[in-house]
Amino acid sequence: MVSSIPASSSPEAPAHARGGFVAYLVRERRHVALAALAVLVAFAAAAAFAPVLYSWESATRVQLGSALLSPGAGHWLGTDELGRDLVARVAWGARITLVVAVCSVAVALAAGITIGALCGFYAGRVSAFTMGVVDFMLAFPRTLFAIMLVTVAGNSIGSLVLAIGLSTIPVYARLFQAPVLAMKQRDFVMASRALGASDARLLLRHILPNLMSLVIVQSTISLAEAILIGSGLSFLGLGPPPPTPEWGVMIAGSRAHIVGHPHVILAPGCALFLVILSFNLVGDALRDYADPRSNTRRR
Amino acid sequence: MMRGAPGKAMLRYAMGRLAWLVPMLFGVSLVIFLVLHLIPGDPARMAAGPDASEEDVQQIRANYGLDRPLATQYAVYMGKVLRGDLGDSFTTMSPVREGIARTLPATLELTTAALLLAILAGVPLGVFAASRPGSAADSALTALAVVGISLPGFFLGLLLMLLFAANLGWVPPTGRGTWRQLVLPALTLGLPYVATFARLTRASMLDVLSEDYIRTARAKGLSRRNVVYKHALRNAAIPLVTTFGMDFGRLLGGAVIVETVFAWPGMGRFLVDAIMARDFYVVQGTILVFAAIVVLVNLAADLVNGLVDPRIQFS
Repeated sequence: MVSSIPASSSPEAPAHARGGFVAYLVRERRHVALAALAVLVAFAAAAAFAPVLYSWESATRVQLGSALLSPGAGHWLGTDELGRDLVARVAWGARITLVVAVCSVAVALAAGITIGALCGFYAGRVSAFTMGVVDFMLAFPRTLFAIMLVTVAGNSIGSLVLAIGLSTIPVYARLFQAPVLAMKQRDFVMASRALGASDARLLLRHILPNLMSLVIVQSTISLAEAILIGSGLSFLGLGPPPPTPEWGVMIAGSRAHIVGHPHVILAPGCALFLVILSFNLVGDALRDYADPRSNTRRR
Repeated sequence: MMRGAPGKAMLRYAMGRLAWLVPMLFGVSLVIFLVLHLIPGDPARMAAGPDASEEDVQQIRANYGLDRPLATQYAVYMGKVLRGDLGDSFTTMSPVREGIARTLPATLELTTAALLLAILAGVPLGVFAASRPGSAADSALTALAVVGISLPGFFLGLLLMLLFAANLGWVPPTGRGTWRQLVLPALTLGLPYVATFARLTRASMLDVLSEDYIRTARAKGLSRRNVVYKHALRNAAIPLVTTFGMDFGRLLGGAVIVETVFAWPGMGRFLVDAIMARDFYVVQGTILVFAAIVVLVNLAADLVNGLVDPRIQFS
């Protein structure tokens, strides 16, 4: 990961990056990444406008008269086994999924960067011990760690955020410790220190801004992982309870009807797959954008 | 090079690592114990159920020693764990150890099958792609790897079940007993790793193939096949073995979900059922065993690396 730190310490973007990320994708003809970005924008829009377009009622109220309808004119994606419109439920699901993912990554990012940066900046016995704990937690399966946390926190969207967020902290702590340690020795940081800058100023104004590209790339990938883990926990029944239109909950609830009516799991399942895939693809493209030397496509 | 007595040095190293396991597992058990004791409403209340009277809860608390200080409880619990006693289930009253002994083989069978599938399909694919960088097969592999890490296990499992069990009828959809029932769960768990392992093998092979000693081997007239499989693959395997060890932990996590999809009677299913039933000692015991397996497998990966690479010094 060290390779994705920009070699130059200058704050302005490298020459190739002028014009922004989208312009870069267009110029480099990265059509797949562009499509992935469009998918993410579409789901973000669905998440934002779900309450305007579909009432919570329509996404959760049981209407047995219209159960298991195939996709068609009235219901574009059909209805589930309790007669609820799947477009409404998938849209509300996007809202829940994206909120959980963004909040949990924010929790992990804030705590993980703090731990990683402090352990990198103040290398010593305490740091070594902390990083030892971090390494062990990285070896421990994250799904199991999240299951343990969600057991403690209970069945709700908030506890899902907590479980995913806390189990992701070691990823960020490990990611930031080495670059901060390396950057601490760089001339521009030493120069600032010689000029009398405080530790806090060195970290916040000189070191962390130079690691922004690392933050953005890793956050995108982490969003994909957060959705993967969160939907898995929900599928197991450890997330928010039914009738919450969370995609994992929807798939768990409808799986008995998969044989005659595959659309009941294809609708939430494909939404899930598309969003995770798009975050991963955009993350790869962002990595190439931030650091052209690590071209994931051409290598 | 330490061709002299590698066996002895390695044995000493292995013993050292094994000795280090003891404090490590104690630390892990302490963390699991403390985290699980944060659960709002103590284990006694969970065991008693929602309708229990206050006296019932007090009675259970006393029976299980839950009224004692946390440090004492931990000491008592670890004393029992060291004697192979993980406590009793609240729901079935049978020892947790028996439940784990019943379900662990199924989980190991599933994860081993998935890991073997991923290695046996992934490594040759990676070697093939590395010998033709930039080809259509090579870029297809890149695309498949992204798809692999983006497909939730439960969704892939249900899709495979729909296709191969419901529509084609080739294999039974759920359960465990015959090898045919292992096919779908193992595919679900292993397939996403095929492309991941292939990508890793490819990257590692490309690094090794650009080394001077490979050019030397080719220059002295060895066949391409000989160079790729004998010289390059052995060296490329070193970072792979470490990754396999680490991915085994991820496979165990994935197994929890796959077991639920296919009604596979493994330890993951046992754990999730216990969480639903608030069966405290089962949750604690299974997570402890999962942690021990992860630690042991990572140790095994280190040792296998030593066998593959005689340059690694065991000191």
